Amino acid sequence: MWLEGLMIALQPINLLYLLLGTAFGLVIGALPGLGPMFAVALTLPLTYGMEPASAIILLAAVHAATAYGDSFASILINTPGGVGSVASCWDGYPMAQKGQAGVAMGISALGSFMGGIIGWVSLVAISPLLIMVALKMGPAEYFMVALMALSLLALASHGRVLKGLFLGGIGLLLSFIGRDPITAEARFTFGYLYLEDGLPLAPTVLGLFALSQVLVLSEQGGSIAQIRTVGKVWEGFKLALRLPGTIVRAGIVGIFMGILPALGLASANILAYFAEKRASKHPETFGQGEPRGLLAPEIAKNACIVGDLIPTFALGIPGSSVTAIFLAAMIMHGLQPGVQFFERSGALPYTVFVGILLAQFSFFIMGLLLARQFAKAVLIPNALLIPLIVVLSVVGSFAMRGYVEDIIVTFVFGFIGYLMTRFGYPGACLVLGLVLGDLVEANFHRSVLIGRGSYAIFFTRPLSLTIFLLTVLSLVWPYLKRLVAGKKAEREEAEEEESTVA
Amino acid sequence: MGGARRMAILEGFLLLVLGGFAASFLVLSWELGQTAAMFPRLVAGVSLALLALAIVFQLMGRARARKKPLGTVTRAPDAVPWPAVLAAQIGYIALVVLVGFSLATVIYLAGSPLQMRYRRWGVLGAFAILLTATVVASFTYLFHVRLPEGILWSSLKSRY
Repeated sequence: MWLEGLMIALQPINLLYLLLGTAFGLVIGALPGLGPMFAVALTLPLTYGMEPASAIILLAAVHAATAYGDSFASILINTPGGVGSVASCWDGYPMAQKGQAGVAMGISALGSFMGGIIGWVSLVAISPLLIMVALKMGPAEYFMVALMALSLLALASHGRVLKGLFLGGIGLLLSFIGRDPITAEARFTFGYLYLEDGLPLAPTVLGLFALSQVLVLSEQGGSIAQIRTVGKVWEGFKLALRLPGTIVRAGIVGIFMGILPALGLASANILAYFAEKRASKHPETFGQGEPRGLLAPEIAKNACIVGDLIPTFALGIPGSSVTAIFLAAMIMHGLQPGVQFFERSGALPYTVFVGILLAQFSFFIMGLLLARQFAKAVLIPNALLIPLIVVLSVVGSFAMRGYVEDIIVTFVFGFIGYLMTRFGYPGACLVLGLVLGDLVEANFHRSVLIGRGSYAIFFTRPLSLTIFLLTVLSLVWPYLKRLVAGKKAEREEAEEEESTVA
Repeated sequence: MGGARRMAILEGFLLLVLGGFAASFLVLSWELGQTAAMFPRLVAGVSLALLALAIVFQLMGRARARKKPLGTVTRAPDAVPWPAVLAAQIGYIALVVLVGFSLATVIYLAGSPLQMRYRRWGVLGAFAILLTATVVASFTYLFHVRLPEGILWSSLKSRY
């Protein structure tokens, strides 16, 4: 079956779709704000007349390449291409500023590729086992994992934990705008029909990261790279290969977050970054251009993206909104996801699996060829880069729904994002709150319903309680450590004084 | 000193916007049904408490030690103050709404670099025209996305 699948996937027409999908995905991914959702949704109608295998291969290529291309904007202009690339900015951009944009692009290319391969291996080898773990998680556990992601992000905000948590709360509040998920009652719309659909995510993210960055760049002048060099892509490769521990840790985080329906991508890169920072002997170097700080989120993101397909193919439950489109494509082409897909579709599942693997190679090779050219973007004078970002942000925010109001939302959040950047408020926390809001609220309601109105359900289920305790411990640990270190220093000082007196 | 005061005012403005936002959600939640209001009310309350704590800690920190100036950046000779760039952006949106995306974008792409004292006219002209043409062509013909055509153009079309 595997051989048959390989032969079908390697047919010239499928290889052509693979290359076209990759090229298209890289271009869309590189545009700020336009991520996998936009690219895959746009590609879906093009697959109508295709063979099912070709259609899935094209979508897989677009999906993988867009996710990788998302990191270009994160590294080069400090603007996440999508919610899955938020953490890639934190060390990727400082590397670009230090004249190592090429090195960062190399780390990103190899990291994304390895993440994709790790995700693929888990997809074909250990998916049933992973799904069993995921199925043990109920609403209370999902609620706690989402809270944990928000808290960890706040913790990663370099000593601005309270501000980070506050902004996470504001993000959650923003996500409540629109219809209530349970009662469909309109909330916080201030009478505007436009707000009944909720606050649009892409325009908000574009404003917070892209347009705020425009104002910062205008005050700096010059160009992004403070040194007029971009470094070599190969150096990034060598650096990445010297970090096997990071690869394993981030891979595990990525796969696990990928199989959790709806939670994955937004949290995977952030959790991987935080796990890596915790594991590092020099956490103080994170945020200043630390290669591990870029490698970990890149691996986790791509492992998660492929891992996302596990529940989609195996259970027929989409892991994210993008894989929901995959599901739609499968149904559109007469395929039944779930166990039947594996039992009654002949060599097709294997063709799809080989196609997904080939998509990883395709974006890796094409990305490598383009990485150094893209990296040179940091040498463009800010005088030209600023209007370029503004125009792409306007198009990006308008393209998804065609509302001029979305452009206005982008500009409003651009100004708020600029103020947050200036005063050290971590905007990523707000975005994560906005992304997770629906999920957190729906699972909160479900849990309370299951618990018959009691909040005790969050603390009586062992897994939920464990996640809660881990979250609290993570939040309190830095302060406890500081307290213990302070007491130790006091004791040593006292002992020293005593010995001097003696 | 003036700069520090302006920064304090700006930060105060940011906190006012964010805090005001959370407070208005808390107030508005009383107009909603029990189920729809429960979680937003909880989040708004916790957010306001966190904000209050953050402000208290910040004030205590300020009292203890003089803070280093915020937002110090290395400025190149072509640096421009942010209000000027923000004003140009607002002008650009107004133009997009009025005359449509294509014309507004050519004007903005040609004019904005001048703000940062960029004077290579050939590059500027090519940049404005080629970039606009590429974006408009790819979004219109490749992605089939309709870009804003502007009130003026729409009214002209409906008249003739």
